[in-house]
Formats: sequence, C-alpha cells, structure tokens
Amino acid sequence: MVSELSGRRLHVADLATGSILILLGAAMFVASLAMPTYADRGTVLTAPAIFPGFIAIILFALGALLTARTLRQPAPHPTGDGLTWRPVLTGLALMTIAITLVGHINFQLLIAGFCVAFAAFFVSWRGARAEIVRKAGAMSIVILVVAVLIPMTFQHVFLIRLP
Amino acid sequence: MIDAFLDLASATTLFNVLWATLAGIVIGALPGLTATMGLALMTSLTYAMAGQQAILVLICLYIGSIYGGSRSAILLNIPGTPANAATALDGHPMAQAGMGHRALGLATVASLTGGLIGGVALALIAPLLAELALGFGSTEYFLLGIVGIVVAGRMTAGDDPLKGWIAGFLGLAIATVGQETMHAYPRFSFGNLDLAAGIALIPAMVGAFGISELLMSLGSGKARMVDAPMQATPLLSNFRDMIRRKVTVIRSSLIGIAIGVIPGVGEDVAAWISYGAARRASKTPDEFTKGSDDGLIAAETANSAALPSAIIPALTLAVPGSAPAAVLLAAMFIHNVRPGPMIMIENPDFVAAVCWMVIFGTIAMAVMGLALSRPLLLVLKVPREFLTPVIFCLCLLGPYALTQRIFDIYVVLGFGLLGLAMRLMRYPMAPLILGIILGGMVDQNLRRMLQLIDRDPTQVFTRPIALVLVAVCLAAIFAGVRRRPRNVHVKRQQARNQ
Repeated sequence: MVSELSGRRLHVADLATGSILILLGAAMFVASLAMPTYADRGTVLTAPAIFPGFIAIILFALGALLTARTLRQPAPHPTGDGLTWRPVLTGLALMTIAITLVGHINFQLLIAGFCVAFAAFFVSWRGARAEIVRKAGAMSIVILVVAVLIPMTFQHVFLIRLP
Repeated sequence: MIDAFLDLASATTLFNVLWATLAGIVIGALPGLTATMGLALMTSLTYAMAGQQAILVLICLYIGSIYGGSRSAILLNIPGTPANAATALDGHPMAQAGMGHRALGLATVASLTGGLIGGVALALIAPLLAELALGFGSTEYFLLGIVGIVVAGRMTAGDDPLKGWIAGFLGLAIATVGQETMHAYPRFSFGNLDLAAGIALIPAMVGAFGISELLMSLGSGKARMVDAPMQATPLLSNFRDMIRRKVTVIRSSLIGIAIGVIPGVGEDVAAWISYGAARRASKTPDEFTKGSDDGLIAAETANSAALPSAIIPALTLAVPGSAPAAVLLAAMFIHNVRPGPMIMIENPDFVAAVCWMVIFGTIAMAVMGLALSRPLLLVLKVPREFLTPVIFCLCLLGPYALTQRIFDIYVVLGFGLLGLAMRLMRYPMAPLILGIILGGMVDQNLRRMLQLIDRDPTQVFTRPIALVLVAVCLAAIFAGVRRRPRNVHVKRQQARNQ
C-alpha cells in the first residue's frame, strides 16, 4: 500500500528537500543577477530579474527553515512503513517509456502497446479459464477504446493531428 | 438573471447538463479520478464547443464529481475526491450498519441544499466583489496574489503550513519560466524555444493531479464495497432529517461559502472545517466517526456550498477559489471569456448565466443521484487496472490537443513525478497550481507597484485595501507558526491514509 512517507523516511526526505530548495533559491538568484536590467528604457524597477529574484530569496529562506527544523528534531528510528513500491515504479517505468516514444512511433500503436504491457504487469492472469477469457475480453475493449476510439475522436472530431 | 435564464434555456443546455453531471458523478465516484483531473481532461474535449455551453459542461462536471465522490466515500471508505474525505468518517460506518441507502440519500439532500445556497451566494457576492475589485491597483493585486499563496498554503497543508508555503512559492517559481510580459525577455529558457513559451497550466495540472494520482492508486490495495444489506429509506425522511438539523445545515453552508471564496483553498478544507465545527457544537460529539447524521450533513453541505463560492473569485478577480476552479478559469480564457473586475461591466450576463449553470447542475446532480443510485453503484465495481490505460491516454492527448506541442506531454510526465514526490512527502498540490496561475499576475503587478511607489514603501500603507491584505497575510503566517490543536487534522491524516 503506497501512502505518504513517515518516520525516518520523511525526516530524510525533508532534509533533502530543504537542501534542494536552498540550492534552487541560490541558483535562481544568481541567474536573476545575470538578466538584463533594461535601464536604458527609463527605469530598472521593471527589470525581468525582480520577480525571480524575489521568489529566489523566499525559496532560499523556506528551504533554510525546513532544513533547520528537520535538523532540530531528532531523527526517528527506522520503521517499516509497509510501502509497496514495485507497482508504482513499474507503472512509472511504463509511462515514462510510452511518453519518451511519443512522436517517434505511431501513437495508436504506441498506446495499444502500453495497454498490452500494462495488462501483462497489472492484471492477474491466474484462475479459471472462463475468468481469464473474461479479463482478456475486457482488456480488448480497453485497447479498442484507447487505441482506436479516443485517438479517432481527437483526430476527426476535434481535428487534432496525433503526435 | 431572467434574461440569462431565457438565454440558457434550451434543449442543448438540458442535454449538456444531464450528460456532464452524470459524467461528473461517475468520475467523482471512481477512486483515483478527482474533480480537478476530470475537469482538466474534459477541458480538452470542449475546445470545439460554443463558449457558454463549454463552461456549462465543465461546471456541471465539477458539481457532479464533488457529489460523486461521496458514493465511494460511503460505500468503499475511499473518498472519490479529497472533498469527500470527511464524508467517509460517518458515511461509511452508517453503510456498515446497514444504513447505506440512508447515508447516500442524506449526502444527496445535503449536497443539494449546500449547492443551492452556494449558488445564491454566487449571485449575491460576485457583483459586490467585482465592484470592490474595481478599486484594486497594482499594489492590491500583488498583495492579493501573495495572500492567496500564504492562506492557501496555511489551510491546505494540515498541521505543517511550511510545506504549503513551499508548494505555493515553488508554483510561483515555475511561473517565472518563459517570456515575461514587460520586455519579452525569456527567463530560465536556456535557449530552448519550448521553455521560452513557458509552462502551460493544463499539462501541469494533468501531470500533478492525473499522473501522480494514477501512480499512487497503482500502489494502493484493492477496495471492498460494503456488503451489509441496505435498508431502503424514503426520500422524504431524508428531507425531514435535514430540516431537523437546520442549524448544522446553515452553519455548514456559511462555512462552505466563506472557505470557498478564499483563493486556492477549496471544498476539502471547507468540509473538514465544517465537520470540526459540527462536532464542537454537537451535544453528542461521541457519535462522530461512528455514523453521525450531523457529521455527514456538515461535510457534504459544506463541500457543495464551497463549490459555487470558489467560482466567485475566479470570475471577479481571476483568482481561483479551488484547484478545480483553476481549471475552470483556464477554460474561460480558452473560450474567450475574460474574468476579472471588469466582468460585471463587460459581460454581466455571463455571471448570471454561471449562477444558473450552478443551479441547473445542482438540481441535475440531486435528481440523478437519487434516481440512479443503484446503477451508479456498478461504477464502483469497475477494476482499476482497466481504467488506468484509458485515463493515461486522455492525460497524453488532452494537454497535447491544446497547443499540439510534444513538449507539453513531457511537461505532463515531469509534473506527474513532481506531484508523486510532493504527495509522498506530504506537500499539498493546490498551492503549487495556484502559484503557477498567479505567477503572471504577481510578477506584473510587483513591477508596476515598484514603479508607482518609486522606492517609497510607505505609500503601500496609504491604501486601505492593501493594509487589510497585509494584515490577512501576517495573520495567516502567525496562525501557521503558532501551535494549534491537532484533532481534526489527525482525523484528516487517518482518512487520507485509509
């Protein structure tokens, strides 16, 4: 069961997030300093760097607060919080592969392939023959919907060229 | 109002109200499909529609999905949308005790009442707020944006407002990517043309709410529907129960309206605050979480009253009151409606039409909820593994259809990962999205304000509305820093983890 992080994992995650925010804030501020001021147009008060600079300072401060708060609290003992990462990571990998391939191969073929791969990983194909046939039938309908009906609707009703 | 009604009254409207509300109920009832995600996906399907009908479809879908979430909250103990988390606390125990039919009926009648009261509030408050907003200058708009982020961060992050503020300011940081409006300078684009065009809202929302929700749901266990036999309850008895609890209904409606108007906070916070208030006011607080009528009515009335109320700032200030209202705001721009203080001058009929849309959607929701209560239960039996590919396909094609840029599909994935990380680390999503929406407004008005006050900050304090906004901002920060009772938030956390 995937749930929110807790205990030691959350402690480490907060520390990492705080550090990332400090770095992000600092990097944004430095990048803002490098932006043009457009002083030749009358005033520097409309310079493009003002808003990102302002946000960078706040992000830096919030990151520092989060880091300081986390460091002040004692790190909790490691606990088994029962996270099931495998399905999440499998799903993420399938989605990432599918999105990376968008634009490189035919969209309908790609999304049909995604459905087959998804069914292979996430649908249980054990049990009585009738049950398996029923699931295969349901999955065929899903493939028909996502690989034919939805793309055709976008293509022919909304006149969108598929990626 | 009568002209707007006559303008809207047609067979097309009736057809759109019915199918969109039903689609919303189905989307809301399915765990893993939130109102925001449903609206973001449906926005892409309304591109070809006429502006008013497209907004009607989206509003009805919004109403249907917030209501539909109560079905799964009561029968599966899984809130269909975050707005129904408080509903599960008392609705599910009622269903387990064989009173599922009564819980579903009470939730429907409470949603109907809250929705109608919220609709009236929309008609009354929107013109007043628009008039007030006519006095807003750059200083007020800049401060309004910051107040929105601070208050939304404070109210949506439970007992850790720091994380809400981080999410909000991260949203503002994301909004800085791309060409700014004053000098057309491409900020943080690193020479990439796609980045120079900026991060579009719809792909960001579909990723943050859609992809991350799909991934989270893959890792969660299978839900089981209540198998206790349901005793049929006459409809009239639900109305009688509501009248008997009129104080709870009025209190919850007012809380819903007040919370809904606050930028970015939304229906879920309204439901929790109303639930907490009902419990504190109750003579039998021990019954709460064990199947209390008051608890169920408080949660459902407040989330339904907050919904029309969340549209008020979206219409009059172009600042959304909730995450789904943010999508609605984006859809209004797509369909050439310009929300903001001038709306009551430029397009007053549209505001009246929106009030009627809310009322039509609320009535359709109640009629279909009551008439189709048994067939709708079948929706809860659709296995998640068959729905995920369909939703994923829509998550790819929906945002792509808007600009036909493959970059937007990468944005969906990027925000999906960001959303997953934020959910796992307990960061609220609403302030992030609010930050992306408000980024442009805050940026422009900060620089205009600096030009106007010309290095003299004391000028800010000569403006009464600005002073009020500064005070609200400081109060929200102070309330966030101060330690508070954790009762309701502990319950909220428990419900989230279930």
